[in-house]
Amino acid sequence: MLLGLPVFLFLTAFYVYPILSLFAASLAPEGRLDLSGAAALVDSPYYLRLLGFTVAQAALSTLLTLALALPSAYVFARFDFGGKRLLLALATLPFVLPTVVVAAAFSALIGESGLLNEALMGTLSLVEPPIRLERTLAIILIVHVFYNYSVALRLIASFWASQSPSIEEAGRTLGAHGWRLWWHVRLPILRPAILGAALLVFIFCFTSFGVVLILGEPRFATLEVEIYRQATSLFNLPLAAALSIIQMGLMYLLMIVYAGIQRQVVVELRSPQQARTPQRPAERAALAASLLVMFTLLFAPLLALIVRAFTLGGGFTLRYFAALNSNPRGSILFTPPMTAVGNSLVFAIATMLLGLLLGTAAAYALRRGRLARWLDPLLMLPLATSAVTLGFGFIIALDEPPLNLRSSVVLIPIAHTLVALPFVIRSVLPALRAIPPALPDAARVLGAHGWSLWRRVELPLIARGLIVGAVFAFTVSMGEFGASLFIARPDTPTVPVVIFRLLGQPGALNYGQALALSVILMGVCALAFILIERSRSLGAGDF
Amino acid sequence: MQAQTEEVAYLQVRGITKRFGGRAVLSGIDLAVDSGEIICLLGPSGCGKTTLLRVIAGLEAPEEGGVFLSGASVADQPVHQRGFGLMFQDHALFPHLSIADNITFGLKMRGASAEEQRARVVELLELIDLAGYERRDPATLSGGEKQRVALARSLAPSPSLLMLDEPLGALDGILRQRLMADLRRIIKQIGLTAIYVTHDRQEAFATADRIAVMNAGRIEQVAAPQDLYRRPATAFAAQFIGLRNVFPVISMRDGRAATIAGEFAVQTIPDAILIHPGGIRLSEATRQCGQVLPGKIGDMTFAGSTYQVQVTLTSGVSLWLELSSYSAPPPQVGAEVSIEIEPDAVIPMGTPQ
Repeated sequence: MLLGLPVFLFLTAFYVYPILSLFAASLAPEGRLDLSGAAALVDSPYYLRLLGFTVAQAALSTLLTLALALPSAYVFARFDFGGKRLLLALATLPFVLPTVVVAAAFSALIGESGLLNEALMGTLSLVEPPIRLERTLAIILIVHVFYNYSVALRLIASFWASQSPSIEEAGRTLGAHGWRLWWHVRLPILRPAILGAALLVFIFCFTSFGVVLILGEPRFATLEVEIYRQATSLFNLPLAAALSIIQMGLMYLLMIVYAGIQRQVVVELRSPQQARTPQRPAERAALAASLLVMFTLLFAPLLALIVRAFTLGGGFTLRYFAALNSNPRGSILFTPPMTAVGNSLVFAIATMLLGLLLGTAAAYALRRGRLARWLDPLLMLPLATSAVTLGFGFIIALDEPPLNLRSSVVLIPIAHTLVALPFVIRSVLPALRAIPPALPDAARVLGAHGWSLWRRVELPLIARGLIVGAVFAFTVSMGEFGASLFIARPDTPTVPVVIFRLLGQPGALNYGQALALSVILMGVCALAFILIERSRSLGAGDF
Repeated sequence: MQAQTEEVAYLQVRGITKRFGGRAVLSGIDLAVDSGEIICLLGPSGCGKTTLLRVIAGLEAPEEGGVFLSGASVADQPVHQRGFGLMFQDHALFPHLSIADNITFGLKMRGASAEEQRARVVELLELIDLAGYERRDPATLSGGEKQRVALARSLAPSPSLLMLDEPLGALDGILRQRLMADLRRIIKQIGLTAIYVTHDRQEAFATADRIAVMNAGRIEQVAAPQDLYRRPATAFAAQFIGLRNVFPVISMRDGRAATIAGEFAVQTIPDAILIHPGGIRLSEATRQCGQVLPGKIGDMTFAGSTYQVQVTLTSGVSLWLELSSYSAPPPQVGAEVSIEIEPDAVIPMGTPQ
C-alpha cells in the first residue's frame, strides 16, 4: 500500500497541480471566473475548423494506415518466410524514433532538396524539383502512416495468428468462399483488433505535434500545434489553456473507449495457427507486395537520412558531424550542438532511474488490492495528456512558489518521467502479475523471506520487464519533443530541440548538421530498440 | 484433555478455524499425525484441504486453534522458520534457476556450505532417478520429471514434516500410477512424516497410512484405507470413495431405520444406510429363500476388472453391485436375477463429528 505513495505524490505535484493551474489560467485568468476565452472559442469558426482539421487528418491517417496494414497483417499471420521475425521486429523501429528524426528523414528522401528530387532532376535534366510535398497535407499523412503502420500490423497480425483456424474452416465447410469468407467470417473475427488498432492510430495522430509543426505550415494546425503557437508566439495563455483542456477531455474519452476495446483483444501467448510458406503465385505476389510496401515506407526514408548526412555534392563527407562540435558566431544556439547529446544522455539516464523507481513502486501498488482501482485511472490521465500540454502546464505552474523550478534543469527529467511512466508500468506490471503466487510461497516454505525473497525470486522474474521499462524510459526521454520545446533552457537544450532549431534555419550547413544529429539520435534509439526487442522476445508486456 | 493422557502425537492440529471473507473454510479441525506416518487429506475441491495444509505450513494464519509439533506450538514461528517441506500443486519450480539451484534453494537459505549443497544435489537426484540433471532448465523437463524435482527440492533441507498438495494433479494415466508408488516408497524410505492432499481416492488408497476424509471445512472420518473402504462412517465419505447404495433414513421405528430400500435393525440413530456393493451377491434367479431378493438387471457398465451392475428389485429400488469381469459372462440387461445381501454389508451412516 505504501508503495503507491511516491507515485501519488509525484503525480499530484507534477501532473495534477500543473493541470489545475491550466484550468485556472483558462477559466480565471485574472484571478476571478472569466469565461470570455472559452466563449470566444465556441463562437469562432476558426477553432471549429481547427478541430475539424485535427479530426479529419487523424481519420485520414487511420484509414490509410489500415488500408496498408490489413493486407500485410494477413500475410504475416498466414505465411512463413525467412527473416519474418526480424522483419516484424524491425518494423517496430519507427515507434521509438523521435518525430524530429523522422521529419528530417522524410525531408532527406522526398523534400525539395531530398534524394529523390535530386535524382529526378539529374536524370531528367529538370530545373525545378518535380516532387513538391513539403508543407502539404500529403507528407503529414505519409509520415503518420510511417509511424503507425507497424503498430496496426503488429496488433492485427498477432490477434489474427492467435485465432483458432477451425473457425475459418467451419465457415468454409458451411460454404463461405472468396469475399463472403472475408465479409462474414474473417472481418467479424478481427473486428476488435481492427477497431483497437484504428483507435490507437487515431489517438496518436490526433495529438500529432512534431510532424505537423515541422513538415506542415500554419494552415495545417492540429489542436496540439495551435496550443504551442498560441502559448509561445501569440502569448494568448488563456486560449492555449482552453484548447489544452478541450484536447485533454477528448483524449480521455478516446482512451476510455480504447481501454474497453483492448479488453476484448486478449492475445493468447501460444498461437494455435500454423503459418506456412506461400505456394500459389497469388500468395507469393501478396507477400512480395507487402514486403515492398514495408521497405519503401519504413526503410527508404531512414536510409535517405543516413545517405544525406554523409554526402556532400555527391561525395562522402564527415563535415556535418565535425561541425557539430563548433559554435560559429551568429548561430542561434548558445552551445555547440554536440553538447546537446551530452545533455540528452544525462536527462535520459535521470528519467530512466526516476521512471524505474516510481514505475516499479507503482506496479507493486497496482499489483493487487483496493489501491489499484483508483490508482489505475489516475495513472491513465498523463497518458491522455499530450506532451505539449504537460510542458505548457509546467511553465504556468512551476515558475512560482510553492514549486519554483522554472530555471532548474530537473524540470526536463521530471516531464520526461511523466511521459515515460505509463510505459514503465506497462512493462513491469504484467511481469509482476505473471509470477504465480506459489513461487514466493515455495520460497518462503524453503526459508526465504524479506529481502532475500525479493532478490532471489521476484527480482529475477521481473528483470526482463524492468529492462524493457528502463530502456523505454530512456528512449522516450531521448526523443521527447513537445514538452522539451517548452521547458528546455536555452543553454541546456536536448537533441530534438536542437534538431528542430537547425531545421528551421536557412543554409546547407545547418540542414546538414540537423541530419547528422538525427543520425546520432536514430543510432541511440535503434540501439535501445534492439535491447527492448531482445528482452521482450520472451513476452514481457506489449501494447 | 486427550492429548495430556499418554503419548503426544508428533504433529497435532487442534481446533483450527479459518475464514475467508466471513465464510468459514475450516471449522474446528482436529487431527493427529504420528511420526513416520503418511496421512492423506481426501476431499472434493473447495473442502478446505489445501487451506489446512497452508495453515500448517504457516502460509495462512488461523482465526482459532493451533498447530503443535511434538507438543510445542509453532504459532510464533513464521513460515520460513518452521522447517516444513511443501510440494505445490503445479510444482512451482523457480523458472530462473537450474535444477541444482532449485534443489539447493532451501539449503542456501539456511546457510549450508557449497560442499554440502553439492553433495545433497547428487544424492537427491539419484534418489529421484534424475542423476545428471543438475544444469538443466526446469522448462525443459516433462511433467513427471518436474514433479520429482519438486519432491527433491522439498526434501533437500531435511524437513521435519513433508506436505504434498495434489502432487500428481497435473499428470495423467500410467505415469500417475507409477509415481504414486514411487512417492510412497521414497517417503517411507526416508522415514518422513507426511501430509498428502488429494481429491483422488485411488491416490489416497495407494499412498496413505491413514486417510482423513474432508467435506465443507470439516474432517468426517479418519481411518486406514482398508477400514475406510470397508466401513465408511458418513454418507459423504461413502459416496466420495465411490460407494453407491446410500439410502437416507426416512424414519425410525422400534430400533429399525426405514429407508426406501427397506427397514434395517440399527443400534444408533443413523442419517442413512449404506448397502456395501461388495457385500451384495448375484444368485440364481430360481432360488428363493430368506435374504434373497428378486429383481431385474436395469443397467450395466463395464469398468475393466469389474462390471458395475444395477439391479432393480421388484420393490422398485435399485442397488449397485460389482461382478468380476475376468471369467464371468457379461450380465444381460433385462435378465431376471436375485440378489443376496450379507448382514455385514448393511452399514449405518452417522453424522459428521
